[in-house]
Amino acid sequence: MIFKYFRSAILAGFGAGIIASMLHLAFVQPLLLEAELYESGTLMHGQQTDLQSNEVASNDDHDHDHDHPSNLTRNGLTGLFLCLIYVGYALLLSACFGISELLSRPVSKHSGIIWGICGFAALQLFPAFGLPPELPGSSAPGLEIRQLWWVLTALATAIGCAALFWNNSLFIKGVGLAIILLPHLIGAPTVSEFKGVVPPELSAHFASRTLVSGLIVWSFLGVFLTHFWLKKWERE
Amino acid sequence: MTTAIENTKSIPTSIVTILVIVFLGLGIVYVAGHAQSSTLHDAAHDARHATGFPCH
Repeated sequence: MIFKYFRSAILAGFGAGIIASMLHLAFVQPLLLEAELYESGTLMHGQQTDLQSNEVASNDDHDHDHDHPSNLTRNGLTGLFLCLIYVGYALLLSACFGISELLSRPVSKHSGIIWGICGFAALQLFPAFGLPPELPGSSAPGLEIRQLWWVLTALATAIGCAALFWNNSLFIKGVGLAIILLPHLIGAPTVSEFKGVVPPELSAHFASRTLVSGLIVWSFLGVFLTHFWLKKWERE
Repeated sequence: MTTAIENTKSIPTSIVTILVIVFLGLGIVYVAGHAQSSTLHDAAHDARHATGFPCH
């Protein structure tokens, strides 16, 4: 029984992680590298610069606080961790599949994308509603309080989604919506003044790219996981 | 009768299985997304920024 969870989650998580890595390298990483030029002071916000030549320079003499030996190692580790993150998410989603089946609501073949979107809502979209995706060099309040708010918001959104989808009572659905809204009504931690060195245009582009990439990857994760969950394996 | 007994046995087993999976899933997400040891942070840095985890 437990092997069904592992098998589905590992296959689906790695599949989604590979898609996430490709999207990341093509669309998100260039913005991260550019932001690090502002973070390190190589570029200054508001100063006239030749972005093309600096982008090339960023690949060669990348000067950042974090010790990354080479672009290959850095990108390899990013791909590995993206796979790991999505395997973790797939395990959590497969646990939800198990709970759904215990509640006599078996996972259907075409529900994968809905599961994926709910996972995206809980673990990326709604936390981002209060804590926008950050580029290096952005200003932000204390890390621990942001992590706490992120975890509580993810949990509240997941509970809210369960209340919305796993019962037919309008009252409980209403409670579910209220739970989803609660962390946002309380409010995410914010900075008292904006001291970020990264241009807002770059941050906005980064936020939209990470959120759209997240939606795509989570949709695939839901579809992959449903496929492997329902697949009849030869030895079964 | 036998089916009824099997069902009552399989529900607690399923719950334990689900708890183990949740525990493992949370463990992986914590290590990959939240843990702040400098080696982990540096290795997971770009993946954390890309997936919306608070990083710095």
